Amino acid sequence: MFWTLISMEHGKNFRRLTLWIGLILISAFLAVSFIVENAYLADLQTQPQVHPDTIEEYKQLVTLPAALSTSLSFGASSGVLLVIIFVGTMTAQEYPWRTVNLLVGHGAPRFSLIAAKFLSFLLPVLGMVLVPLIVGGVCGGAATIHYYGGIDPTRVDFGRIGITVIGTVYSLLPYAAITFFLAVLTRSAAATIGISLGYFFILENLVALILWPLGGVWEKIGDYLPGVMAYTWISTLQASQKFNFHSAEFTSAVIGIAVYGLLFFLFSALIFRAQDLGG
Amino acid sequence: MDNIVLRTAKLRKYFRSVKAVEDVSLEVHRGSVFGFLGPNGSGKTTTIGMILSLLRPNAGSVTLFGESVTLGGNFPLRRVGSLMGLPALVPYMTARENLLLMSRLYPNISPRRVDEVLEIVGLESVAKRNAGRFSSGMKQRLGLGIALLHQPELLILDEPTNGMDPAGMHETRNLLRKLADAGMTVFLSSHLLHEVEQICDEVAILSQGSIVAQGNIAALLGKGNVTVKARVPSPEEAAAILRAQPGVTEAEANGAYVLVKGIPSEAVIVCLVSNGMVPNEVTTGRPDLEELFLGLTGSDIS
Repeated sequence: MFWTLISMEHGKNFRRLTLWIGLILISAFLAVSFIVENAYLADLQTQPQVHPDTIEEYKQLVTLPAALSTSLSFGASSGVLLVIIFVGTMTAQEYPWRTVNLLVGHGAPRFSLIAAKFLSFLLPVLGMVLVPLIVGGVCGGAATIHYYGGIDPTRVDFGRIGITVIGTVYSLLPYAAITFFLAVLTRSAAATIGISLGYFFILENLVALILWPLGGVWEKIGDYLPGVMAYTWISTLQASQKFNFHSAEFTSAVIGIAVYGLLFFLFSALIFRAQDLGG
Repeated sequence: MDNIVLRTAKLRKYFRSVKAVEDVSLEVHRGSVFGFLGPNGSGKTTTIGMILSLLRPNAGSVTLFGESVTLGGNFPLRRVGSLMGLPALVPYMTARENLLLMSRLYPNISPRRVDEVLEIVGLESVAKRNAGRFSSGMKQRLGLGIALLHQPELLILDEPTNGMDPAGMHETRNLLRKLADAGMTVFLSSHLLHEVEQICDEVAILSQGSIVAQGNIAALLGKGNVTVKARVPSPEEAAAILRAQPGVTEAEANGAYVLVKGIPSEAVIVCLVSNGMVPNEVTTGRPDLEELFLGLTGSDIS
């Protein structure tokens, strides 16, 4: 039954225009930004006062492998917004549409249903990270061929890219879990998205800014806020040359993100199990 | 095999301090068409919600096919098809896609069965239209199709003909009767008393959260007072004379007639003739379901 429900949720997720519109928009935005950067570079090249080293540095930024890193960073940032909107609407709208009633009323166990719903977001979230990567790869590849005549695959650390993709998806877990929890609690897409955006983009940053200067345990609390932790972790992952899997920061971030994900999923499941689904 | 497919025992539901359902106990026999009636706000939808494990009862139990149904254990509902109020549909999927999606919940439902169901509910020509663009009647048909998809043993329907045109209502009534004749048990909540009277074998009547009558329709209607209708020259005078007779529970003039309850037609004739009034015409009539309903609930079905 559980895998059947996941399959059904996938069917709904990938049929939803919201997901595809979101992916198209971030792809378009990324492609346009690459075009603008290349246009700027082309303009720079016509200016004799610009040092060749500067031009070379800029070329490195818009070609492979740097283009992939840029795309992944963009994917992480835009992914937060897309995750909140997608998870919020796909979960909360099941209530006024009563599709959750339909499945429960036809014998789908509540815990299996809520778990399937939550886990089914994994593939769309992976798409939200992969699509910018592919767009960046195509644009960066085209720029590389244009400026250097060809692509040297040995310059791309595919292993690091792979780990960063997984890490980026993982970093979006707290956003997905908290948004999911709010959707089950409020049963309203508007309230869920509004509260999630307000919390992650405004409230949490304000709280962190207040706590950090206080030092001691208050600073630690600031460090372990869900969005702050996820953001810090992915930034470290993307910026570091070598991964230190044994560092305290890395370990605590991995555990902390998992705890937030699991905790808010369990809260959602507890609420859903007892929820009156009405007539 | 137990003949009772659905049994509720002293179901109770309160919303804060408001009593929605109080001690509702009913039994639905296999192969029957069971009507569940009540005015607006009487607790019908709440009761059905508890049966479908959508609402947690404050007390009481629900048993389906001999197995208990709870919020955490609703497996028996896999043998049930339901349409509760407004149909639950994924609006951005077509009619066919909605059915195919639900078919994944059950083994051995082929795309051919999906097409068959679309034909049964009359949506084969709009199968590829998004459900969100359907009229309310079409949505109701699709909801009914989803309920029938896996050929359930028990069909629970709450106002299944809502939003349908008269032809659609007629088709649905015929379909339900055909399904019942084929052995499916149907639990039907409806406002349309004449519809219930036509297709149901048993009814339960709910008023203010409690069952006020339950049983075979013919037996329930038989218990109601026969009305004797006599055409007399002076109906007012006749009514006054009859009211004084022992056993008469009601006697009133109605146009050229006097309507009497409580005594048989022979006694009415004897009484009138002995008082110098010879009736021109005497008929008897039993109450219909609407009269029974109004008498028990004291309210308009709408």
